[in-house]
Amino acid sequence: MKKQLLIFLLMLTSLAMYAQNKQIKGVVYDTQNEPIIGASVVEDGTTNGTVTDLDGNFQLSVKPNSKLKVTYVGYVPAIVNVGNNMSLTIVLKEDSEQLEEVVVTGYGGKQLRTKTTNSIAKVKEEVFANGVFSNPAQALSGAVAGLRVVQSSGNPGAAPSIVLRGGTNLNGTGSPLILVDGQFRESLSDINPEDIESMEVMKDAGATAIYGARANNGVILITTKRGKAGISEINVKAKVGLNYLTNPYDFMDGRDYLYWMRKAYQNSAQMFKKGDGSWVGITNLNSLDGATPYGTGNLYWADANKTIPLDGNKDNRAVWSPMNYTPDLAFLLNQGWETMIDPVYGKEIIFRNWDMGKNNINSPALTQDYNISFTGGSEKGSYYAGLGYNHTEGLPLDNYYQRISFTINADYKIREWLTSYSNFSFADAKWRGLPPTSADEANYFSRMLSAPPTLRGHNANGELLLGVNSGDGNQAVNIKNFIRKNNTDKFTLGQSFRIEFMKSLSLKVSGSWYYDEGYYESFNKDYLSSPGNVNVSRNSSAEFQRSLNQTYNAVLNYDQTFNKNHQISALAGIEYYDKYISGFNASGSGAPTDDFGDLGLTSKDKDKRNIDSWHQRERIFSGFARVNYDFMNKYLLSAVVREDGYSRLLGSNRWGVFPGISAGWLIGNESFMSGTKDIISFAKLRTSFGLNGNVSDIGPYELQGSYGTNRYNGDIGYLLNNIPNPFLRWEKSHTFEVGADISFLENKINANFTYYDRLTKGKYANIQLPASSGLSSIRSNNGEIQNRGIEVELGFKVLSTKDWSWNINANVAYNKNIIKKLPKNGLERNRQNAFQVYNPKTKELMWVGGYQEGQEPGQIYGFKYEGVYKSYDEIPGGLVDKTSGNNGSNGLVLYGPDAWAKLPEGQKVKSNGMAAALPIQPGDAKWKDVNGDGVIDNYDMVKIGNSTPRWTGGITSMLKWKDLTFNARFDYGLGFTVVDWRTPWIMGNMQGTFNSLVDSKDTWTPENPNAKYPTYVWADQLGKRNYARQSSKFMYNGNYLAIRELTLTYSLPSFLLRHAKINRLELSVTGQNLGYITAAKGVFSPEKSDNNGGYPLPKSVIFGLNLSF
Amino acid sequence: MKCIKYIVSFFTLLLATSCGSLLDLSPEDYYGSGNFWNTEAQVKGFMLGLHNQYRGSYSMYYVMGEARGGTSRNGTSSQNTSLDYSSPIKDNTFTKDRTGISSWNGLYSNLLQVNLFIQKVNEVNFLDAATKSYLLGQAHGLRANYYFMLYKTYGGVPIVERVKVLDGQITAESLYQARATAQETMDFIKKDLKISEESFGSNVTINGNKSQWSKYATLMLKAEVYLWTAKVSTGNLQANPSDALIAKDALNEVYGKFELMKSFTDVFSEKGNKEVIFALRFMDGEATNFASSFTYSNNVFLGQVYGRKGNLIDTDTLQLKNSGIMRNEYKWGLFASMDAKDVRRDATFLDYYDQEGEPKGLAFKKCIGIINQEGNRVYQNDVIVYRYADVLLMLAEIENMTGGDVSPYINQIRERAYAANWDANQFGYKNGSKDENELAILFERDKEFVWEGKRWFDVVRMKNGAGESLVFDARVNYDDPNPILTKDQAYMILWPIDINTLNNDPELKNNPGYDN
Repeated sequence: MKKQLLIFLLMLTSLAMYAQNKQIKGVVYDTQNEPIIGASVVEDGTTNGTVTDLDGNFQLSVKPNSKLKVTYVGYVPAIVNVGNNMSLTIVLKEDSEQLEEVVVTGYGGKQLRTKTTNSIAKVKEEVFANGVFSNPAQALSGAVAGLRVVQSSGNPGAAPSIVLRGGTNLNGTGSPLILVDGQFRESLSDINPEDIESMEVMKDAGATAIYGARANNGVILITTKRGKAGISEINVKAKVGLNYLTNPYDFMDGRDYLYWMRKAYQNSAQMFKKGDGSWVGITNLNSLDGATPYGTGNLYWADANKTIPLDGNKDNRAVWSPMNYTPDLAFLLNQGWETMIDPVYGKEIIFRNWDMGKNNINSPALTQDYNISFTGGSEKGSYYAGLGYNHTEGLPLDNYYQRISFTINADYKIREWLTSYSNFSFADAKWRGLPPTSADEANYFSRMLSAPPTLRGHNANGELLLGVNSGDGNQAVNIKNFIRKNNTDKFTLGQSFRIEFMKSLSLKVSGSWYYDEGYYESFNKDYLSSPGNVNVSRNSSAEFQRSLNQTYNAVLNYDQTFNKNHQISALAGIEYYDKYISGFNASGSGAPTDDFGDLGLTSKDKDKRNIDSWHQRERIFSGFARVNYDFMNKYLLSAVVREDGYSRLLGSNRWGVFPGISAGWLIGNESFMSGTKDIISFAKLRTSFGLNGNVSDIGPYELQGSYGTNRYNGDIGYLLNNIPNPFLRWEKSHTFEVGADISFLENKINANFTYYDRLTKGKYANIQLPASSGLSSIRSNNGEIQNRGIEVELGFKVLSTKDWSWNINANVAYNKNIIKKLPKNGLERNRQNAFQVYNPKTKELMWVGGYQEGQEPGQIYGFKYEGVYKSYDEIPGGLVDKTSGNNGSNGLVLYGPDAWAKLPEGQKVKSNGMAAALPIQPGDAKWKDVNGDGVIDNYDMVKIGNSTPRWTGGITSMLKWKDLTFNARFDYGLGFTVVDWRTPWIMGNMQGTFNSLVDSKDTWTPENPNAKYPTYVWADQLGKRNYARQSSKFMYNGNYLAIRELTLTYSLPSFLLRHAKINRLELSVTGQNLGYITAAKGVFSPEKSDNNGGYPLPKSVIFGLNLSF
Repeated sequence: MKCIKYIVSFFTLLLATSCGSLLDLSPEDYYGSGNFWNTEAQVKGFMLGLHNQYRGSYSMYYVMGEARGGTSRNGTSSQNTSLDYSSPIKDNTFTKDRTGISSWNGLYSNLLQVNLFIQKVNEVNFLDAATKSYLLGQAHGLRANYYFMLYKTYGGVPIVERVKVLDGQITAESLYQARATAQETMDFIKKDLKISEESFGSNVTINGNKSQWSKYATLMLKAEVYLWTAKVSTGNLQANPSDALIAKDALNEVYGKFELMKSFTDVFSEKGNKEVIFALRFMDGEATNFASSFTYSNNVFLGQVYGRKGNLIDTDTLQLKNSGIMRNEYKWGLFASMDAKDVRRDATFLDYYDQEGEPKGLAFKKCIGIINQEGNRVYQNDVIVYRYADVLLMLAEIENMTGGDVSPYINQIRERAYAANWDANQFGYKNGSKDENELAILFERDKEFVWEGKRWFDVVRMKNGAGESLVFDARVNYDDPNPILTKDQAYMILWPIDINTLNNDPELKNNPGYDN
């Protein structure tokens, strides 16, 4: 009876409510009293809602006594009681972003930014919004203070290198641990940035100790998107981009090449005269008449009657165009050939100009990136599903990366006390690298493209000519003959249950499988390996590898507030990680046909086929705990500990305990600070100390030693391949940091400052062994390296008016590495790979470079280039140059004029007529004689700089005017030196036939005595080493500012979209990787210090559309 | 709360039971150091591994034993390519900074494995006595061989006979080792030879179709070693001519056990033939050698050089299929010294000329392998370490020391070399003075052993009439009026030790002459 009464009453009330729905009006302002357009006004707990119009007004029919929830991007949501009001004025406060932000701390932990005691930087999804990223790490450049992201390859899908706070390896490398929803990943490859909700970079050991043994280089935690209660949306994004080559090398055309190359030969063949008046040099002029790229001995006709043209794909003499002009070749002038006068012999030469780049660079290359996602949720459950497609073409021929990804994350509250979290993600990646015959990126862009521009291009039948051979020749000739298929599929399957025992106590049990498989096939059809030679090996291979990562953990959470003032949040858990890799490959050759790559067709003859299989397992067993304690909202304390047991290490060295502790003081909340609240709106001091490990350099079974197999006379043989090293332990990094988070002027300026000091002890360092031991080195725990630095992050809300808003964020990090300890080797400062130079002050020899205790690694030394000798008067008469040079130099001794005159001819000329020594002449480089002894030797090098930037950071700006938004992102590296090895190789003509840069026109000649560069010669490494030595001329100040992204977005006004039920429609145009502002102009990327050419990042223009409904 | 209790006890149990054993993993595809040296198959396999590694070091024969001996061109080749090892090796311009090779040419890595083998084989008890002593015979022979190579190159060297890097935790200091004197080093080599010879006993089996070390190889090495110490003084070790008799005894044990192949080219094309005593085995699909670097690449060769008769060479005469390049080239004089009727000349070289018919250069063709079934050129000739021709010519050299008649030995070689053209009167050697005989033996060796890694050691060891090493005798240098080394460069007979090797072991001192 009671029940029935209740139902009746309920019905009554609801009827009454329905009946009493009332219409209310309102207006929404911001704190500047400007109306907010497009703010969402929703009756709380329902889907009944509207948005504000141009004047910020809204009307809504609501139940009495209901609440209105008013939200707008960038503002703190407001909940307003309707009460009896018929008209409301609602003021939204700007979201003091940093202060309300929540950061993820690992193992399901979350913390208010205001309460963190650690350095945890959050990378928000906006970072991925505008550019196109085939790899999400590409978006991290400059995003986080202290995180150095180097993008030194433009290959689509290339993973940039990521180093936090200088890296813990002696050479300044070391990558952060990457976890995606708690599952370990080797890299950020094949993750769709659109699926990322947030990325946290945990920097200090007080935080990362929870990840123990693998976390000393920091941790990147990626959280994928999940559904949220009350939001239901379909989002469609499309981006189409055009990518353009930015080539640092401006090569000469055929005419200039011929002129300068022939001069170069002459310069190298005629370096000085013997007593009998004949020329001596390092070569002779014979090849100028040969069938060479610069020689006139090439042939056009195959027969004496001059009717049948030679085919340059069959005959070496018809590859290159230069020939002595004869009237029978006149018809070629109508086919684009040209003539010129030979600078050496004065005859007329006919030749053809050829641009290798035009045939081998796909510019602009097309990028397409499409995403659609669905998200929805209620109090009970929520879900997110995202489908993505990315196809990025590379600049070289047939180079591409393609990713198809699908993610679904679903949460459901099955019982009051039991919630299920499921996630599934799939990514299929396919790619093709550079053409196999020129697969090295540096070679493709700076060697192959520097091939002689006198290639005939086509034979008489119009077919493309290869050139000298398949490696240095025109890649377009053979590209279709190389079948390459690379395909990986990555699956993540995760399931967790959260059991809530009581409000304050819950247990989360999770299991996650990350399955990664790759299938790779390669097959060479018959291809032209050089003129007249077809490679018919028909090599075919296939490889399959799968790896399964299993992570299981159970985490107990406890959250409780006692007495209002004591707030405790604690967790304890255990984790088991198992990774198993298995794979096999097979290859063969000699199939009877090149139509199929089927391995079954390959020759069955002995030793014609190879097969292999491999297996590898590793396991980690861990227990961990964390306690966060907050007293009176002012005093914060956090402690973490983890114990890890790792199968890579042996015996008792296997187990390690890694504690971390941190504390914070919200000094701004103290009463004595209340007076300054108008200026300092927030202030927190924090400090942390912790211990981390690292064992990433060690192979799974490496410490056990191995006996490898080999073959001799057809039988299996064995050798001791690796000696066992059971003594190796964890590396241990101790990190101390202290910092302050301060906001000024109602949080208009947010700043945080951090000083850190990370000392890695037990660092893996190679003990150099005497060669007589039979080993060159062995790994030990005897190293110690220190990273120290300061990080500053600043955020400014410059403008915030009705129409305008402008936010600027900037970060800067300073870091310096010092090697504290190295394995004892009896040498001063236990130096490794050091070399000697003169101390410029004492003129004595000193050991520099390499690794030395107490010094910063990565010092760069070079000969100081002091310009070009313009005349004999400038050359010290007795000067002797005994340097050894590089690039295979033969180290001929060079003599100044007087010393040269004294030298007997027997020591100037070898028995074969070539130079045994050389005179220093006008046009040669002037090198600094550091100790002033009149001898330039290998000790006369000076310190030029350091290979690692001391300063790194980024700047972002968001300027908004009405519906237009302009975003800009920059990042920079300062305080380092870039060494350009490639330009001197090109300008020194070290290959001997290849093209040079237009810059070589400004090399010294008698007519151009004030030239910028030394004389252009053939094979400088065999001569005077004006280019073939470590020269300050080709070492640049590496300071750069990268113009990473400029985006203009137009957001269609909501009043237009409302009727179409569209929440948001944005159109954007973005310029990505627009270039660098830097002094290091000769290199493909100033981000790379040791620079021998490479695949430049393309400049991209991207058109985007973003639609939600 | 009960629930928690269960969960906690469950995890505690899991931790306790699984930790230890779950983390003990061993490799699934190969032997870890814990499970090797357990079976005879492993031990025998390791002996094959030692030969595999030896083969990997084969280039030492050319680089250490031939390149600086006055038969190789330096600088740029006749095809305008730059030549490997030009400086300081081929042009003999060594200094302390320019050492040509470094880290003892890597030979201590080989010695580490040999030492490990000797150590372990002496320890294990599952081998029968005969197998064990045969294997030890091989291993001591191999070790003596490596040390002799080092001795000839550096003089006294650090003598390492134990794998100290496996004795617990390593420090660099504990591994520092000074060089033994020349005398000590030579004593060690001779001791190893003795152990090897005794271990082999009467077992003269040669395994692997002559691709493995055997008693005959030990005897050949013994002959080489004693002939060396009979004639060459190094460091504190003075030459002792009576050692030549020991060498002779060793050779006499080999004499008649092998024979010269009828055809010179068959020596190199037939693997394990009756002339071969010991060869490093190369096979298509397993290992190829660097003979390709003595040939030509089409683009700088074809259509640019002329044959002997003035014909333009525009086809791939040697069928290299574009696998070749010229990074090493023999001097024209070596070719010119060979008689047109001596089949070795055209079996060894392809000679080519410029347009005017002037000599231009030489492509090597003696050991350029085969065309395999896929139609590719494969440089798979064995690197022959010892063959019977060497027995005869060493015997000739010993005969010359003792004043005997060297001509029967030389003429056996020449008879085979001239094949159908042989005419003893016209081409036969007639015994001459000591000086004439020594030069005749050297020049015979020059023609016979091109690319077999002997020339440098020959000119160091062999003496002219004045009793001086031929290194200082201009008559033996090709295409050059000067001797290979002048007298004041005598220190350069021993190579310098590179700076890194010196830096990594403070107890090492460089050879005299390379002090600064």
